[in-house]
Parts: sequence; C-alpha cells; structure tokens
Amino acid sequence: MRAKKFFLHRPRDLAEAIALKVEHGDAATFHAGGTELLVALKAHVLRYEHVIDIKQIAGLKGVRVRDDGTISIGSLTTHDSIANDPIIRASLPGYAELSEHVANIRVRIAGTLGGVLCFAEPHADAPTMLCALDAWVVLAGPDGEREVPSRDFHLGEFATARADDELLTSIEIAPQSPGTRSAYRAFGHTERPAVGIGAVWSTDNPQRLSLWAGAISASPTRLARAEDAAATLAADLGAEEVWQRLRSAVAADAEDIDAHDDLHGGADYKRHLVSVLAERALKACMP
Amino acid sequence: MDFRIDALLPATATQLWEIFFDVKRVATLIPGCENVEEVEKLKVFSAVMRQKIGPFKLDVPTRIDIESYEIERQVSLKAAGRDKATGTTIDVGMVVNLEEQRDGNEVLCKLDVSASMQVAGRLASLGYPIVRKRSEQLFAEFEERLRAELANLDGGRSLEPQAALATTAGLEEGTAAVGVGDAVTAAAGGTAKAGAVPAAGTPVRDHAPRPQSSGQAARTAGVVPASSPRGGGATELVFLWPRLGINVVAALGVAHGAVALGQSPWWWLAAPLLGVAASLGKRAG
Amino acid sequence: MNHTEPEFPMMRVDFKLNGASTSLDIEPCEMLIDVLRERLDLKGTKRSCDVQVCGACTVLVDGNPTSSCTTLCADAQDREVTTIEGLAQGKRLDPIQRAFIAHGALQCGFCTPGMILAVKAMLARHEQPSEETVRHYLRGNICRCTGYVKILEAIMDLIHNPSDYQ
Repeated sequence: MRAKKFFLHRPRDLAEAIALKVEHGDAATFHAGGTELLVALKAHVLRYEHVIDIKQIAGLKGVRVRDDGTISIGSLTTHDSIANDPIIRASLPGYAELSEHVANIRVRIAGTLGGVLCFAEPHADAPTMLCALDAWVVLAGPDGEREVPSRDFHLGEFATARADDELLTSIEIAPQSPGTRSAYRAFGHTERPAVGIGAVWSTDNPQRLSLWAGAISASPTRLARAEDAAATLAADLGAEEVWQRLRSAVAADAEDIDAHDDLHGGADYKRHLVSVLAERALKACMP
Repeated sequence: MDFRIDALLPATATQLWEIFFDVKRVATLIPGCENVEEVEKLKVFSAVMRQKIGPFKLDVPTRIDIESYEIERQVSLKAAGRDKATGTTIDVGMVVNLEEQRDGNEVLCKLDVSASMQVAGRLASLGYPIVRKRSEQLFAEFEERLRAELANLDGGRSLEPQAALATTAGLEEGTAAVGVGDAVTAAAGGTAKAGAVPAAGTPVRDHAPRPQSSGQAARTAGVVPASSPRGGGATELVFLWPRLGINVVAALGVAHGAVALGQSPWWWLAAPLLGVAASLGKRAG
Repeated sequence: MNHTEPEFPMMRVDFKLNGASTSLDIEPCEMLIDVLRERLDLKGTKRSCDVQVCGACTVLVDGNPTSSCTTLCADAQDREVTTIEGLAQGKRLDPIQRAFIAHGALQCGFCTPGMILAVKAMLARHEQPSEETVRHYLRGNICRCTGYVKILEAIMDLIHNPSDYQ
C-alpha cells in the first residue's frame, strides 16, 4: 500500500529538529534510514502527518575516538559504515562483524544505529552487544542532553527511555582494556535474529565476563549467573574448560528468560539456542 | 484460535448468573475495554477496545451480539470489531454452558466456556510475536481484576488471594485446555490446599527480573493443547489479541454464569486443570 | 466534526536518473519505486515483497544498492539513481547482463533487474570477490526460479574471465 500523505521537514540542525517535534507532538516522527518507519507507514500501522528528516543534520554521522579513548558512534552512522570503519574494526572487531551481518546489504546501507535502537523492535542485534559492552547513549532534548546506559535504555517492545521529544545523538563505548575480547553470535530463520548473544571477556584484572542475551525477549537480558560463575574461575583456563564450568549457569539463566513461542521459534527452542550461541560467543572471545 | 475454560465452582447457577448480570461492571475487568453500552437490552452491546504498544495504537469499535441464551444455563455470543486506521479485524464466537450439580449436600456449578477468535490484518501479521505476548499479559490482568472483584462480593469471607486463574489460548493446534484454579500449586506440590499456594502468578519456574504478571502462570500452564473438535483453527494471519476480543465476550459469558464465590476456601477446582497440572509436572520433570 | 485533511503540498525533487538530470513534482510520501514506475514509466524495477526483503526493487543510489520500495523519492534529492534501464548503452549490454544471458541465469526474470544491479554494486566494491563474499553480498536478493546455481556461475565466471564479457 502507499503511505498516507505527510509534510516532509528538513531541519538544518538539532535544535530545529527538536523544536519541530515539540510543535507537532504525536503527529510527528523523526526519519533517518526509514527501514522500519517507512514499512510501517506503507502498511498503515503507523500514521504521521509530519515526518522530520534528520539525515542532513551535521555532526551525527561517523565514528570517532574521544580524548579519553571512548569510542563515539554518531546515531546516523549506518550499519555498513560501522562494519567497515577502521576504528571499530580495530578496537571492536566483534561489533564490526555484527554490523556486517545485519539483515541484508540494502538495509545495512540505509539503516542507522540510532534508528534500530530507537525503534526498539526486540529482534535486533545491536542492543544486545551494546549492553554487553556497557555502552551508553546520549539523548538530546529541549531541556538539554543526558546519558543513559544501554541496559537502562531498552525497556521493552518498541519502548525505550527516550522521551518523545528527544533525539538520540550518539552511542558511546568505553575504551576496552588490552585483555578484553568481545564477540556476538546470533541465529534466525528470517532477516531478524531469533536469539543473539553478546559476550565480552576480560582477562586483565579482574577477570570478568559480560554476557547478554537478546532478541529472545522484550529487551536484552543479562545472563547473571554465568557472569557470577565466571568471576570465580581461575585465570588462564582454556576455552573448553571455561565453557564446561559455565554451561549449567548459562542454561539456568536461559530457563529464566521470558521467551514466547512465535514465528522465530518455540520458547524452548530459543532457550536452547541461548546455550548454543553462548558457547560459540564465549569461545570466540578466548585465545 | 480457540480458547476454553473448564471449571467446577462451589456455587449455584443462580448465584453465578446473578453476580455477573451487570455486564458493564464485568467489562471494567477487561484492560482496554471502554465505553460499554447496552444497545438493545440483552441482545446487542457495543464497546471499544483500545491498546497501545509503543507507537502502535489500536482502536477497535466492537459490536457484541447475544445470539441465544437460556437463563442460568447457556449463552451464545459473537463479537466483531474493526480498527479503521490499520484495518485490523477481530471476530469472536463464544458459547458458555452452566450446569448445576449436587454432590451430597454441596451444590456445585460446572462452567464451560468455548470460544474461537480470528484476527486479521497487517498489524497482526507484521507484529505477531509482540501482539501475542501482549494478549497474554492482558488476560493475566483480567484474571487479577476478576479475582479482586470476587473477593469484594462476599464481604465476610476472604477469597484466597493466591489462587490463580490459569487460562490459555491455543494457537497452532487450535485449542488449549484452560483450567481455572491452583494450577501452579498442583504442579508444584500436588496439594491443592489454597493455603499452600505460592504468591499469585508465581510460575513453576522463577523468571528473570522482567515486569512480572500473573500471566506467567497462564503461560506455563498453557503449553499443553487439549483435544477438541477444532483443529488447526489458526488463520494464516496471526492473532492480534487472543484474549482481548475474548475478554469482552468472556465478560458477558461470565456474566451469565461463571466465577466462584463459594463457601469453601478451595473455590477454584477443575478436573481438566489437574490434567494440565499433571502435564505441567511432567514438563518440569 | 471536521473530516477534511489538511492540505499536503507536493514537493520538488531533483536528481540524476541514469545519467540524466531529472526534476519532478512529487508527494513527499511517494516511494522511489512509485515514481520510477508510474511517473517515469520505467517498469524494469519490480515491486515484489514491498517490505525491502526480497531485493526485486533494487536500484542504485550513488552506486549503493537501495530498496526502492522503502525509500522516499524525496531522499534521492541530489543523488544519482541508476535503474536497470540505465545499464545498457543502447544495444550494448552491460557485462553482467551478458554473463547472465550466457549462463541462463534467469527464468521468469522478475528478480533479475534487482539481482544484476546488486552485482554491479558488489563489483564496484569488491574487485575479485570470493564465492563466500558473493553469497553474503547477494543474500538479500531472492530468486524463486533458478535455485541460484546459474546466477552464481554467471557471476563467478564474470569475475574470473572478465574479458569474455567485454
């Protein structure tokens, strides 16, 4: 079907974009890559009379490293750009690989990281990995800027901590210690993942595991028992030994996950995938 | 998709019939159900079902027709609604049967609710997983409100607050057995004593810190499909709110003879439920 | 009650289409595929799934594969759009087109324009892609007829023997 008519606005800067949203309220939406919004508009499951194109706003695209080593990804950066960005490939190769496998080439080229985070469809890859990386997002609104950790940003299906009149401007990832490696493994029958696991394994003091499961429930879930078990492990264990010591904790965490039968698979099947993918992600983090 | 309630309640048919004759009042138990009006006495009702999932809004004006009824025994209803904006349609058919039984001095009433629902439209097919989950949550809330409503009716006695209404809707198989009662307790420990029931809605398994709803009990109880003449009732376009549309109708069905009050603290009891619970026990094992 | 919708004005969009400067008045809500097929009568771009999954509607925007069904025409402003009609030079087919014909890499032909344009974008990015790279890049272009075998053969042959198709 054809999208219903709307006004297309092209604000020159952030302030103008936010002012437009404040002016038109619920009748307006921000528009970046359009990979999710436009599908919904065409299907008439969403309707907006004002579409605020933000692609031409300067300063929201690209990857840079701040003075303190924090990696800052502009919210308008596309998955394709992230996948091929030299900074990301060097310091977060697992995340570059994740970006390279999002949906298909056309979606990677048009879709932005800010867009996928804000639309908050649960079957996505980036939120899981960003939670595992302890990332945070920067939101700009009429009252100024604020930061929200990723784990607090994702509240459920199509629900985030972003207020209606705020724009997500960047995603920030703290510099990774030299002994840290991260990996993401996902599986799905469709273009979206049924289950995704993000793992960040640090061997330098202290030994620490960050392990998150996503796509399987409304928002990414920390696999807490596995993380706690990892903290007690002796240093310098091999990959297989680590897995053997963590596998029952991972399975216990998976049992707890609020999974549902749906087109991506049965709840039990998805919980099973959590263990399978956790093993792969973990082992990919180990030398 | 098909839906069933099977319950044996310690009350008379008359008692139940009277309690829930106030359709509007029962409608307040349904989350999102608003503007319930009686259009034609005991024949036609209208309501609006409203739901919001993130930016997605649904506004479904619904017409409910009571096709037939026999006082204190049976009622047959249908409901149909359409959301203009998204073109989503809901069609529900439901039959409620009451049968009073005597067990020595005790009077019991058998409640049998059999409903089918079809939801069609783009929102349903695009957003099936989320929509399905939302319907389970709504139904769980309906249960809670219903329980609270019943606890208020009989001023003197307090109903067991922990007793859970375990209900489910069948999906691909087209049916599910829905038991009403201490599914969780029975599964957990075999005893049906209400006092031993864990907190309302606590499922057999513990869940990760996500917003909890008593829908957990519903969900874990609902995996076992029951045999039914209806098989493969699912349409190719999936369900928007399996319980949402049903709730409107269920409210009316309930109005014509459902839920328990009763003299005994063990106020929910259902044989099929124990069957479900037994299956649950097997699954947990 | 006032049922009339507010007036939604048309807008002007300027872009390059198959090398030629194009200026059109469109509704902001029109997708690129609507404009190409209906306003400009270029039927080579196909509408299939309409949810940007199948790739049949693929066109190139600044050389990048784009789902024209899920791209606002307005977002083509100042860009270069290439459709399948823009590949051949008169009667002289593009090497990709010739490779597809030589290998019988099409049956109904519905996915073919999108597939060929995706290949064009891929070869602009990767000079000598491995089969694995080709499979990954073309993952979003679905064919229901061929089973992909001939398509892959055509592409790999083109990559390894480009002179055959000059």
